[in-house]
Amino acid sequence: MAEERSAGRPADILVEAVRTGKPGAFDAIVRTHQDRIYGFCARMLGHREEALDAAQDVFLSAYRNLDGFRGEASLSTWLLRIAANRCLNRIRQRSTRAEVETPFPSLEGYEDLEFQPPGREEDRPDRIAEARETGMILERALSRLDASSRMLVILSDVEGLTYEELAAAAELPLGTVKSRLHRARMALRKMIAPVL
Amino acid sequence: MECHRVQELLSEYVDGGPAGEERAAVETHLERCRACAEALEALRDTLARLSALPRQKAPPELMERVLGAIAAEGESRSAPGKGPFRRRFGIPLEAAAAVFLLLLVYGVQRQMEPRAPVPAPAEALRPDAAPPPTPDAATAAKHDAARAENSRGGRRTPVSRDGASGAAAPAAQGLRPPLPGAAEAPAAGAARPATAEPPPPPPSAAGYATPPPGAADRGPMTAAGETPVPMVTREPEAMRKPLVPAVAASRVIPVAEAPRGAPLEPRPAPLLREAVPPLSQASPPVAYPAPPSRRFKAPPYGREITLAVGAEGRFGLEERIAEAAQRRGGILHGEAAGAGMMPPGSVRVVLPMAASAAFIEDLKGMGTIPPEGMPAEVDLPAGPSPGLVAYSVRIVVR
Repeated sequence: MAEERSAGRPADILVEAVRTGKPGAFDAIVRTHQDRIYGFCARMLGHREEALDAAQDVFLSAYRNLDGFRGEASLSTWLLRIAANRCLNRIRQRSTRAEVETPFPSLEGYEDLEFQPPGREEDRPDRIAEARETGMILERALSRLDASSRMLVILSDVEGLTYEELAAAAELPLGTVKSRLHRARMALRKMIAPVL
Repeated sequence: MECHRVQELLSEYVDGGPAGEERAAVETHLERCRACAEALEALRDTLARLSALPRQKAPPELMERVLGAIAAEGESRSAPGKGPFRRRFGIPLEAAAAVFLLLLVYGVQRQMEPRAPVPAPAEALRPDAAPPPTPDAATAAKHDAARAENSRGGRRTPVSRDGASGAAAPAAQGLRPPLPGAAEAPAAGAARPATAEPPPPPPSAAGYATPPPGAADRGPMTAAGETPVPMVTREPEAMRKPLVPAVAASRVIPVAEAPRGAPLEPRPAPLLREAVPPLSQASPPVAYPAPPSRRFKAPPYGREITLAVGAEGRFGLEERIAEAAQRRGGILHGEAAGAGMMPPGSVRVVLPMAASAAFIEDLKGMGTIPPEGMPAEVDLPAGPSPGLVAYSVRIVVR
């Protein structure tokens, strides 16, 4: 993850600054990671307000437990692990029916997001429109996966975590991560194949 | 290798695994099996579309909610990561260091305060001293003022019980000489009355004159047969002066030898190696701030930028510079990171090297960077670690 590589060293400084109580240090952490954490929670939960609550919980938990961050993984991975736990807990508390009927979270503003066709081709309006439509189909398909599969696909294929980072974030053995991720990808592909 | 086994390994194959012979076997099978090759292409297409999904922007209220929740948790959460010092002593190391620094500066100030000679208080106690004047309206006013101060719970001031005049008035007044703004000096060094009586004890350092011998049972500040008069204590100038940290001191008093009695003129550069001369009685006590080399120790890395602004753009500039650095993924670099204190009008930030050009552009939006104020290559690392750059932004008002 290029963003994580560029943020790795400043993240260590930020964490240390927060631990020593420097004003504004935790603001910088939130500002740096809020898009990723909120986006993950939104795709996991499929509801804007619930994603806001979950993201707030993630940063509060991080603030309270910063002593537990030892630096073995990147700060971003650590935050995503907290987010994964929070989202899975919230999903488990829902009824099965509610989970199936969870709406796609950001349809109302989805058209305004910046879309790039796969492969970063030139900025043609028709390709952008196609990418936007594809994105909406994918988002819907993601929301149809079970929570655990959805989490693995989002962390691996949307957020770009490696297998090792995925295992750390999901708190699963590496072999389990590989096999479950493969099944999740296959399930997703099966859903979108008739359309895309 | 069978198709079902290859299909199970397709995800890992796309992600760069498996290694060795197993990968070679998958590749060999894919060359021969069209179905598995099409499944591989479909998987790659799906992953490409997933990676192209847009990054969702967090709503602005998320930051507000997080910071509000943190603030609601109270002051005890201000330093969530408790280091060994805080765990052991219950206070942050920075607070303890700040208190220690203030005490050190106060001690240095006390050491360097001049001691002006105090007029001999014993003169008024000589047997041949002039009789005290009778109480007049001024004395009565002093009584009332002292009574009022006592009733307000202020400094304990003795009040005359009967208001009658007595020999104590000038004696007490003699015990309370007007201090020229300097701490009292032991009266032993002053002129002593040439009498057989034992000289009175010198005024105490707190400014309260000790009663003559034998007056203890007659109330405060009285001598035998004397009428107590109110003593409105006047702390010496040095005691009243607020404790000013060395960094806030705006005057630098020279330490060069000065002719006795001549008023000292402040000079810009303190020469600490010169001896401190005795100050005249007319000179007020001064504070000698720590030298800049000790106060503003620069870290062994970084670059300097000079930002020139007009007076109208000066307000809040340090905060805007810090915010600009934070927007670029950096932080305000302070004492906790071992960077030392900053001179007034300077801000030190640390940010990724890749964001340095954007940060400089942000600064140009706040003021002007003269050519000589641009960061120059010096024989020091750019930042505390590779990939980082530390900027000391010096603010100059045009």
